[in-house]
Amino acid sequence: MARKKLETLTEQMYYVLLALRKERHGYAVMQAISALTDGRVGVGAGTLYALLERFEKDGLIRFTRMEENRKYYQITEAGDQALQAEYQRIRRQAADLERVLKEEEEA
Amino acid sequence: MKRRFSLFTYPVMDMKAAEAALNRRAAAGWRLERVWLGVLAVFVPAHVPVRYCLDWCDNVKDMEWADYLALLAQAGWEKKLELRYWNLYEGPADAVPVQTDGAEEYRRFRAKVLRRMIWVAVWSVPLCLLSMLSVLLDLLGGPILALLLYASALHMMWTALALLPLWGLGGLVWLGRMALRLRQWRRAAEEGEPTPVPGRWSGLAGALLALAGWLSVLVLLAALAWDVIAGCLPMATVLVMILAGAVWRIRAALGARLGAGLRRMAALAFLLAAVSAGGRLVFGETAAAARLAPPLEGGHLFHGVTEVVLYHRTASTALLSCTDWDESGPTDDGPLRTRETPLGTRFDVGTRCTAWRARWPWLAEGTAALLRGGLEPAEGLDHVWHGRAGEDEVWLLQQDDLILRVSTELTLDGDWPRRALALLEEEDGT
Repeated sequence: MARKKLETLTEQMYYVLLALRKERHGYAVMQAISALTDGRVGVGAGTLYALLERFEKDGLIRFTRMEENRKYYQITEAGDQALQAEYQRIRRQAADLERVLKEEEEA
Repeated sequence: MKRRFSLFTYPVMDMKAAEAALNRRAAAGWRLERVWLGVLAVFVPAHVPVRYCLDWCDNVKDMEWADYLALLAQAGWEKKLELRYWNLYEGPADAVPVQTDGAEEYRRFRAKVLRRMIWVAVWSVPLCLLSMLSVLLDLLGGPILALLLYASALHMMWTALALLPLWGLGGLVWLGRMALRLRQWRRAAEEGEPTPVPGRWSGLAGALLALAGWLSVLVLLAALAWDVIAGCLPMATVLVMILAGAVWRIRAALGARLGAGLRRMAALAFLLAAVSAGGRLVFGETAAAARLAPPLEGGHLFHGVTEVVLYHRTASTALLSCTDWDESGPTDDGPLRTRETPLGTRFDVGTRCTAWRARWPWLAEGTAALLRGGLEPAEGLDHVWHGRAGEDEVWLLQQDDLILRVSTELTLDGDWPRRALALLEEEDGT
């Protein structure tokens, strides 16, 4: 399935980028996502590793430092734009649903 | 300590079935101790609840492998084993699985499976087609003759000939199973569903199919060893085995992460060399004595019609032996006719005779059946078949465990098959 992921972020991509608004290492990203979603979203270590590699290659995040054998990353400006674009898309979807529901109530 | 055992020969496309089988044991309070020779999973009681994940063993670059393992370790996953296609990780029962992105999992699964599908299709489809053609259309007279000559010289070739149709069929089943899994994974990824897990019985069927494939390879290797022991292959073959083992061992040492499979192959090559060499020293004479005597050795079938016997050779195994020779008829310009070809002067041979002796009559019947393609039963004669191949007449005669095939451009008298059958009967009695 050749989805262009950077046009539409998956839920896991979205939360990884969100977690990296603050500089974090890989495992901290997993913990942050779990805490942020009350355990609803869990990103596997293998999946996270692949996403970090891909985001770094696409310039959405950058490697910042290495400490105690852990690699730290942080979101870049391009990554923030992708996150904001996804946020706007989700907001528009929510607004569309609200409008339809409202029209159904009024009808 | 109590132990439980499970067959663990899951093929590459049944990754999720293998994972589910491990987690069923884990949920029942068992922990994987090891996988014996890549065949049998051995479980011991678990003191703390665990779960298992399988991940492709080459999904990150070599240089990043340590980083990957470190991240997995932080998430609670410890690398337990390196299997043929996958790495096996063990973690706490409540750990998030290693892979959680269905679309990404499908993408990698497709990359692995497609490559293998192409490889399997390249050999299984032609094998099946050739098997069907040989049975249905009788198109393989020449190649079958050549294969039977090799099968009379080496046990390994005979085994391979017997296994070829099974391998072709198994390859097609393998291919179908891969295509099915690919479709299931793609649909799940498109619909955002979890990656489908095959049922227990479906998984077991896949494991049994893979086990049968491996056993067939072991049978072939055993036949190779027997060829050395019985003297069908020279002792130098043992040196080739040792050399192959050494090369695999060196490659395993150089490739730290993907070395387990190569180490096993190296161990197998060394074991095969030891068994072959040791077996030849201890049982060599007995094994050589068990080889069948070639039939009609020193044969000159058409006395008075042909004058010279050329290219006389024999071969034998414990199952099948053969004698292959050419006879040349008299000509005006001397006993041997020659013709010039771009590659030089060749003898122009009038008659080719090949005789086989089989260990059992049913084996002779099977061998004759392979050779009967395109031939019709000869009128008034039992166990004699006749037909044409190009300009030559072809005759096939069977007498108990003996078979004679004659391809000739000479015009033979109508009584010769009876004389040949009598000769075979006489040979059979010796």
